Amino acid sequence: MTTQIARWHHIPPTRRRFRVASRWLLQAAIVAVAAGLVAWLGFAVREALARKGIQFSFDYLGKVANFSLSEGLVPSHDGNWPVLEPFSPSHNNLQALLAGLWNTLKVAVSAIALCTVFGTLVGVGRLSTNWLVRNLCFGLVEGVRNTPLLIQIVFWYFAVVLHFPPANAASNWLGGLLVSRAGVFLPGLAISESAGLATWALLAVALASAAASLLLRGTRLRLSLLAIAACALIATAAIGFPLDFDLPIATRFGARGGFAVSPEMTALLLAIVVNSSAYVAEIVRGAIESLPKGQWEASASLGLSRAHTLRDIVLPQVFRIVLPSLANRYISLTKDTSLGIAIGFPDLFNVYGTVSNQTGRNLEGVVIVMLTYLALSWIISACMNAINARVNGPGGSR
Amino acid sequence: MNAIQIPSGTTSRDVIVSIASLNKSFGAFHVLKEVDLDIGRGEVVVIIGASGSGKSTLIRCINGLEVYQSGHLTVDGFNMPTEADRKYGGEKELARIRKGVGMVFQQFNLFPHMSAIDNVAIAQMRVRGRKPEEARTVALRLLERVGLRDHAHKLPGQLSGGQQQRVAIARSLAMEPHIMLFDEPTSALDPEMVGEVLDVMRELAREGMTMIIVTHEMGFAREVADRVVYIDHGRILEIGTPAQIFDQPTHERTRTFLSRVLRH
Amino acid sequence: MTATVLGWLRYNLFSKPFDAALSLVVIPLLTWAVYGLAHWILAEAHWEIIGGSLKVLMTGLYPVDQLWRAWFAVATLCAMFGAGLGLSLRPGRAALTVVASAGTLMSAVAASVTDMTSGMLVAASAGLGVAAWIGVHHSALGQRIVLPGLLVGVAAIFVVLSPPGFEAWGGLLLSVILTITVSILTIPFGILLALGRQSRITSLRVISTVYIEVIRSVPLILVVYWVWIIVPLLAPDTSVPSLLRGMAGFALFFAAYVAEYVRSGLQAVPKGQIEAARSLAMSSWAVNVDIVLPQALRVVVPSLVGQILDIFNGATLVFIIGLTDFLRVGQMILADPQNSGRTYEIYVFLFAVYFAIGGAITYASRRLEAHLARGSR
Repeated sequence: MTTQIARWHHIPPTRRRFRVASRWLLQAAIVAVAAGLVAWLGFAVREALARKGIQFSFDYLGKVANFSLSEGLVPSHDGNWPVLEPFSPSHNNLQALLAGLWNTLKVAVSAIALCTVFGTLVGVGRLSTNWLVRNLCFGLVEGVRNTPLLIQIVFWYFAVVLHFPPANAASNWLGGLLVSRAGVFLPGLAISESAGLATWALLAVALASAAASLLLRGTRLRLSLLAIAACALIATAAIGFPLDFDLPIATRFGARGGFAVSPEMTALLLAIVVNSSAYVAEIVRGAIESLPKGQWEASASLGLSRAHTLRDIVLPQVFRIVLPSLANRYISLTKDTSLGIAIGFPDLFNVYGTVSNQTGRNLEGVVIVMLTYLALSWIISACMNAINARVNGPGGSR
Repeated sequence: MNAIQIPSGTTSRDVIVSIASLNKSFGAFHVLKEVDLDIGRGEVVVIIGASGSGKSTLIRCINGLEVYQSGHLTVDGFNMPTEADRKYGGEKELARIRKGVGMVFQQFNLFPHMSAIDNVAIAQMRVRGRKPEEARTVALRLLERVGLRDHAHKLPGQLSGGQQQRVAIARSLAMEPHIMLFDEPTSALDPEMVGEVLDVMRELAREGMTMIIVTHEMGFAREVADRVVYIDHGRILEIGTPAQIFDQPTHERTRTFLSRVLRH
Repeated sequence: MTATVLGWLRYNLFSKPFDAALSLVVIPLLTWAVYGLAHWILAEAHWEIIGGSLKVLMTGLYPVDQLWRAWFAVATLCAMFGAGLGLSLRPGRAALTVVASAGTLMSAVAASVTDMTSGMLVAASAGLGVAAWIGVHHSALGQRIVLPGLLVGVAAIFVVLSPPGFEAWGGLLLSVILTITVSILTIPFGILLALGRQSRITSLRVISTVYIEVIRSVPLILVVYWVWIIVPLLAPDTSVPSLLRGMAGFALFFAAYVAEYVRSGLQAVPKGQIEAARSLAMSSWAVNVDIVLPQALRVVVPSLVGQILDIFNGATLVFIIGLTDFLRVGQMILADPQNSGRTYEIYVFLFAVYFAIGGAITYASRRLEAHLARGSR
């Protein structure tokens, strides 16, 4: 066969230039359209607000709130030191929003801790060899996931917490826990006046050593730190512990002393914990089932009981797999706290609504609230990524 | 410079793939270094080398699945675009080039939601514009050629690895390519199925198809190849006839590689 | 007989000491709870309140003389649902029996609780749904017109129900219509967002990614509330009904999630598939439509069906913009001092209905996932 002359087909320079130009034009057009949309949005809203005589500004945050919230702490200062105090109508709008954030965080943090524990239990229960336990867990998970969270919240509040015994006849558990329809009261910690500097110093040493032993590595170091913590604790007890249990005592409308959890928060917390536990249960169950059967077979042939297999082999591996899904669940949970508005719990969204209604500042408020939720989501993701890195890091992966 | 050794018996030849000073990097990792290779029409070239040596990358550059940074690559009369050229698009041009180049993958890559006959017919319909009945007739004929006519209506999930690979070969043949590229076609197969795929490839070679094969099957290479190319760390170290490479390798590293591979 | 029962008990409840201990704790508690519940349901509860408020629970404050419109909507919804089933589920004997008995049960309940007409209308609607199911499944023409048919159905419902005004819509009907409309709206919008996120044009990619990430970090109630506030500010001369503003808010929120499902569906298609298709010289369009999309849908569709449940459960949030959905109606009934003692009856009823619908959607999603996965095994 004769040698064929190669046909040189490459993209001619003119077409090349055309393609580059058209791509830039397209980009410019899209940016223009998007910018135009945003500009129109901003302009139209400003126009509408101007018609009502309102300007876009954040000054309203400094104005006095003039409404009260049923709960919530705000940072403030009593002349010298920054202090946390309950919200009152004389605080400003910014502090109102901070009180709302405080309430949101209260519920979110407690719920995250509780639902992880409870959810893992239910998830493991879903795989139990006991038929009753297995199906009860299944029923709980299905019942919770197939119904709206809002109805669960409302149910827990109106049909459960508000049917608790009244405050003066509150049921008393273990001498320290009071349950009534005016709230749940836990034993609090009271600082005794007589505590001297020495006691506080010893307590600080104990806490620091305990924390250090958790964070640092190296068995000997950790054991010695724990020993120091134990000694410091015993010394404190010998001198006289500066903290005392403040047991709540029922009164007609609530309780004196102790650490109070409002009925709204109780209901919201119960609902969110039960709800999120169902999702955590499914995450944990899915992770356990995704482990290769070979793991179970290997531990069985080594003679490990099912419980030991679960605790030493399965759950540590599951922990790694589960982290990203858990992070998502925690973020959803934090967003779910906004439903507290349905039962009057003054979370961030609720307070934003009140402030907006009072001041007409919907736009500024939405920017603040959106940024806050964004920040919360981001913080949770960052924490989970850090834990993920530590768990999967040096020599720990797979 | 790696000399092109023309196997005895041919004086002039149609060069259908021409590679000159080809360089390719994955980021900072320089994978192909100054590769020179000419392949003639009807020739069967087998590329061997250790994993990571760049042999799969080389073959994937030939049909444009990988871009190269510098050098010259002419396939079937077309200039293959460099990475810089690709910035201006070029998918349409590449499609035109690929009409003449068939590729068979290590993982078969059959379309799981289509039956065997539809796998072979789909490209004919979409690219060559054939009517479904005509495409299916051609597909049946090709499936018969690879010995799978009775399995035409099965889904890939219902076929064994060897059968799937044979369907993949038929699928590429349906486009009537001038060149067939094989990227380790039998590496993912159970040993008992390797033979049926190699039989099909042997038949193709006998019919005069230009084939570039990356494989570890040395016995097959010795039997079928016109030339064997040994790639080591991104460079072509040796080219020669099977007899030359397998029986009298010149380079030390070629000898080491072959001794490791041919032991079993 | 007793031997097998005892054997079952031993194996399932008492096979290991730990299990036995669990059983010994759980069985008495469970018996006490079940007995208490059964006793309450049958003896103590006053169920008349459900019967008396059934109309309000189902349609909210819709004017009574226009109820025929609501019945039209119900019949259309049944037909649409049946047609949708016909696309994926075969009307086998078992499935038909289940649906037929459910339909008969509901019409019997409706007839006994309200009047004969309602009972017959419920039966007729159920029958229409079953007919649509069988019809679509057995005719190729039927299968082609289902998707446009759904759109026509929704439009028809809107046209027929709107004359008394959107503010009159309420109850379970509102929840269902909202769910279906939003589910349909989010699909094209979500796909566009997903494509934008994968696009090679940087500005488009950035805008899509920012939108998706921001929306996914904020609560639904915030988006719905904010859209509801913003729309009148943008268009001060036209008054847009709360319902439509609410639907827009829901659609904007859930489209971001659809975009993520589509993205994970696209990522689930192995790269080798695209390489093989490109090696066969198929154009980008052919690669996407014939190879990528069918395989991506396998992953995306079950998630989309699961999202229908999320939207249905999320529909309860419309209380924030002043609409009365199913849950809100229940609460309004309880707010009447006459009914203050009937808290548990109302909530049990609400839970039961929500669970029935939610459970059905979950079941459908699981069956669909299994059905689609069959092809890829």
